[in-house]
Amino acid sequence: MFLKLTLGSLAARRLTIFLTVLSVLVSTLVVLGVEHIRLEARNSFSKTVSGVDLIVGARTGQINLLLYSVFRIGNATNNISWQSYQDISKRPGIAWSIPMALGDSHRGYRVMGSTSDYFRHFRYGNNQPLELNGDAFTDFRSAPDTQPLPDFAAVLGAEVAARLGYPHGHEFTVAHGLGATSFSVHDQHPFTVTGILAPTGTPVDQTIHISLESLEALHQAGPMPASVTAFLLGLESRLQTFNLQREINNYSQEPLLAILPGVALSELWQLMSVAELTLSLISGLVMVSALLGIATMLLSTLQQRQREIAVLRALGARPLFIFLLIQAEALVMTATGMLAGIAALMAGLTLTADMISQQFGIFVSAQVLQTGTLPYLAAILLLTVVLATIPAARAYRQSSAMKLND
Amino acid sequence: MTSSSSTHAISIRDLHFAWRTGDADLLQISQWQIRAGERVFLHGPSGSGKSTLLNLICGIATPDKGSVTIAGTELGGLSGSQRDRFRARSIGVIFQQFNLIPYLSVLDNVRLAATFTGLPGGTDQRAAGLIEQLGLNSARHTKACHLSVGQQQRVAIARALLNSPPLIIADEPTSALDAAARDAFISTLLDCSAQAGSTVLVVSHDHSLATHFDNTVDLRALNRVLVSRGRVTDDVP
Repeated sequence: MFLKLTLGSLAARRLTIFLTVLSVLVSTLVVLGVEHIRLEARNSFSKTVSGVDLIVGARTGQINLLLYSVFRIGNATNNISWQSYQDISKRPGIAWSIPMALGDSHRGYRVMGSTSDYFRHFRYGNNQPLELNGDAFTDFRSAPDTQPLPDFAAVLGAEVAARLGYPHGHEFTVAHGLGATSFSVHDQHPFTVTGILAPTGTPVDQTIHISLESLEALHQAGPMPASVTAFLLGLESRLQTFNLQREINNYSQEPLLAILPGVALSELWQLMSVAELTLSLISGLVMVSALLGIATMLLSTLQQRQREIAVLRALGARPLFIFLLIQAEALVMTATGMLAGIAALMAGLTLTADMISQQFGIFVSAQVLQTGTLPYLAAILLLTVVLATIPAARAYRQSSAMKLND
Repeated sequence: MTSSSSTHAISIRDLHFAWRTGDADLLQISQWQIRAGERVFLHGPSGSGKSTLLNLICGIATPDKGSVTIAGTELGGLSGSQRDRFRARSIGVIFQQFNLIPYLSVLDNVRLAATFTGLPGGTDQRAAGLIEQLGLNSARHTKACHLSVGQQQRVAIARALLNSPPLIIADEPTSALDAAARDAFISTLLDCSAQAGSTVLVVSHDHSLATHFDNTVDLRALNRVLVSRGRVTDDVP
């Protein structure tokens, strides 16, 4: 009967309740949306690269280098000469190196020139290797005696293949620059898809991988590039990391910057924390205002419900029952708004996931209900109880002092 | 809790009451008793304390001095929640109008009376029986807000009788009814109460109802405050 009274009372004021629930829905959308995207962005960023000891690029800020080299966000301020890359990558203690040359694209997807070492050594997530379906391109690193020759083979990231619908053997041309539409197309050298990578949930999925030789041939130079955008280094011993970093940062031939991915990520989070805090604060205030709306609505309707409360009291309902009835109404409204908000957020994320990953390189899951977001839901319900205490306590006092003929 | 007299549905002794501490007494009743099964009509002018007396009998208010004993239970000896529970189990209340929860069905409005008794279920069958007895079967699933005033008052009777309480109190129950509906309502109330063995106390300023009852009481004769102030003007001729 308690539930019938709660739901019946709400249904009797359905228009007011609908608008109130709508405000909770929007607030939930904002609170969980901000928090979920924040957590997903962190998760997405931290799993993008694994096992890389140093990232080397032209001298710039370490966050900028991290963003353009690993996350394909933004552009390099300068390139590194091929000579410097070769010099550093052949130093003792370096287990492997992956050069990266960025700057071309195909229908909005970045084209990255690299070596076949990329498929052997690059790791993501929890030290997971790339899974290649088909063949990698052939380059001077494919075998000890391989000559540097362009093969115009391309390995597609999972999303590129899925979105563009390119199967193995499909031919396409790449364009100069990073726009979705380009007027400078390298159409004299079409590329053939030889391999497709398994999904990784990282920017790798949105990248087209070709050999440095093929990239260089596009620009009618070669056989090897004069410069690369950046390179990743894996060391034989991590103890060498700081020494090598210092050496690279003091490299006399050209100004270079070597960064530790983890340290750069920490700096990025530190930089982001003020914005995150501001966003969290705003979303929190939006939620508080919606919940205050519930309390105000319940408070303002108490006068109209005096007869209803008097009938319940005459039938033996204790003031505590009236108190709990008001609290239950507030909780039902909040819970309904929350569930609707979660559903709307999941639907919204499902619909915009591709756009977010393409535009920002962040892979956001539509699975909103995670351990990180549950405390927020609990806090919203707790805050509802706290704020609904205002009308509930008033109803309690009114019903305690109520007379039969009130 | 003391048993003053099991043969009395209501027993009041040396009652003094004011709504606010320090105010002059609104009610002073030396002694008043209603026998179990009796049907009593209580009348008095506006402001004579009729509704205040009902609040005291229902345990909504407690006397400043003296005692109110209902069906052998002295209400002053009970805590607030015990009085609420006692009211749910032992007293059926009917108002003049707005008796029902408008968004609940007829059946749920009747069943509501059992919600606060703290007793195990089993009242559904009795609720259905009372609804049928009062000619409301076709409207049992209709929301109370869609009923006529007459139908609402019959639902109120069914609800008041659900727990077979020893005492039924009605406060101006016919004020919203026309003459024909008024007589039908009183007859139904008294018939059903007789079947349940309940004592009935109806409070009204409508003297024409007096003929339906075993006993008629003028509050002016009971309330010593009115006697001492000399307020003898009735609100109806």
